[in-house]
Amino acid sequence: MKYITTVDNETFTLDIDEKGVIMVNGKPVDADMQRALEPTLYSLILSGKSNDVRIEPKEDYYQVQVGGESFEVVVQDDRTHRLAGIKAKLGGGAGEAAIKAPMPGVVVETPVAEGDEVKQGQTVIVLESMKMHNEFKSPKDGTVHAMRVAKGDKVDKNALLLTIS
Amino acid sequence: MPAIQKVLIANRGEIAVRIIRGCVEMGVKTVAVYSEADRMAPHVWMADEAYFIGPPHATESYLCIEKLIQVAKDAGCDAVHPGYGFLSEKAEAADAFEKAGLIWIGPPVDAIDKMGDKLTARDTVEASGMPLVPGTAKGEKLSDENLIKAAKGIGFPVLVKAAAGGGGKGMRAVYEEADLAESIRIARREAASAFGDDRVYLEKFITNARHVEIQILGDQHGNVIHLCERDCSIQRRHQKLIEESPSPALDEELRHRMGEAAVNAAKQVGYYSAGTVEFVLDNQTKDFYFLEMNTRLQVEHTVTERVTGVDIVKEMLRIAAGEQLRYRQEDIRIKGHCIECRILAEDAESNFMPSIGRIVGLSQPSGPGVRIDTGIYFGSEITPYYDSMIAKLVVWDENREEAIIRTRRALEEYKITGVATTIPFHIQMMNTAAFQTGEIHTRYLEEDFDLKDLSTPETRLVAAIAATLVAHERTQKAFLLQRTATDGIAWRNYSRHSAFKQRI
Repeated sequence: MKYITTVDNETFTLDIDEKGVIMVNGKPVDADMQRALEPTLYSLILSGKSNDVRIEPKEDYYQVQVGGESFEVVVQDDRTHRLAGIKAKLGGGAGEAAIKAPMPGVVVETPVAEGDEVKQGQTVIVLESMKMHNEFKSPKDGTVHAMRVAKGDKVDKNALLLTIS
Repeated sequence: MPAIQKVLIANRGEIAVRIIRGCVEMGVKTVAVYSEADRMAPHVWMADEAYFIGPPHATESYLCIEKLIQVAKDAGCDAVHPGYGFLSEKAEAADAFEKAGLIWIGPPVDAIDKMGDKLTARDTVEASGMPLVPGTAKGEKLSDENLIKAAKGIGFPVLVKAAAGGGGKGMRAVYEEADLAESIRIARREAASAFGDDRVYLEKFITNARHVEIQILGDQHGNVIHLCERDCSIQRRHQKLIEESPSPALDEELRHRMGEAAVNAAKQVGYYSAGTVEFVLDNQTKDFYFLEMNTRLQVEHTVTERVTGVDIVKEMLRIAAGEQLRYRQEDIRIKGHCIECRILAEDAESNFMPSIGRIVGLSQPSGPGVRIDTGIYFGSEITPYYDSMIAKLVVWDENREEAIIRTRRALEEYKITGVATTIPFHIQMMNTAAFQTGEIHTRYLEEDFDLKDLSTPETRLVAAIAATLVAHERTQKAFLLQRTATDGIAWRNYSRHSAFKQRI
């Protein structure tokens, strides 16, 4: 199997054959990876160099911790990688600004309602997370098109809060 | 006064765990309380008894004085320990518990009252000869207009602070008059939400300053001593991130003067139990000014415990039971150096954004000189309801230089998976020249410190190979169902063992 793996801005091509031989960017590597009984904990010995690695599978990437650093690693097999390239070219822009929750929290104030005119920089929603109040401002002049949350709602990370058109 | 037999711990998280440990060591029974969000928190199963007190939001659970008194009475407690935060600095809570016949393991109600309100605190300590930072003086409710007027007299920059506040909540630095009205508005709202009191006051902002505080211990017989200082100058938005003792900025003479000033302030209000007098120390002139007094056990009491050998929680229990202080001032000596790193569920790379989720992997450091106080474990859920601190890493060594090296070693052993944490930030701070030489001030982190990308080609390669192998195993498993193949995980053969069998 061939994989295209991206760490930060660096892309690696990995090939793993049926015998388990691993090639990185065309060169074979000496890798021994073992899993601990505890989920997410692995030991990877790479040409004698020992690493404890924490890997947490997320929705569309892996959160990998190595030596005090944390990486978001995207692994795509060859076919998915090519498809993703085509999709990116077809994608278009939208005229709406969507305000999403950058963190989980509780909505403490909704100073605007659907249909309200808003100015760029105007506070449109206040989210409380871990006892801190975070004000979110409109990125542009426009109208509140959809208000998806109400005061007191608990929201998850990336939840859509409102849209401005 | 009777000895204490059974204590209600009116708190949660790591500090509830810390207090339970002190009680267990003294043979005192413990009663925990928990909200809906905390049924499976360690303080619940570590206590002898545990009672449900309501919904996750603290105003409906951990801040409900009547519910807590009811639990204490029903469980037959004779005392209550408030920990820090929540009710710990509310005089009306201490008063209500005492009226219900329970011993408040903390200072007298009157001292909380005088010191807890930062405005009256300034007037009170001034009488003991304490130097004060210029600011608005009286405890009256000042209007926004009057505050803005007063700011012109004090001179910018100024700090807007919540009268009922603590831990930086509702506090804002304002550099220009134009920003003041907006900052007062935000500070009032945060203060109202956090403390139910929207009064704010102003204080001159000394820009090249350290935060140095003196730990106080006093008994009910008029004896007050100090347990030396802690330096908490590494802060962000006035929230402490790293604390250490001793302070690299103090010598014996200055330590003695600050200690004496703190003891005098405590005596002024008839203080007993543990408390902390916080100072602003001007880096250049070495002048110090009273900042506030925290009338409770402090998050960072651990560093003082480590360098002085005094168990502050146990001393609080003894003092509350009416015992004489077991130490004289001359018994207190600092030995070695101790650093505490607050491990927060916050992503330092994304401007310390709170991070919430389940702990799906946890390796905690140990070995020489390492102490961890935590309220989480493998499988814990970090919720948005309470503050973001999940652990305190407290490291001791013989001197500051070695303590920094040991702290870095412990941080590198510390692995938490499932939420972003401040561990990578702390590792970098330990590697920073300004921290190593001790040449820092309270705005150092916000203004002079840049979080760098420390990844190397080697660590990126390790991350790439490891993640790809996990992904490969997952796709091979998916194929297995379709092909009914027997030999699934091809790369397993390449390893020396075949332990890699569990489903990911």
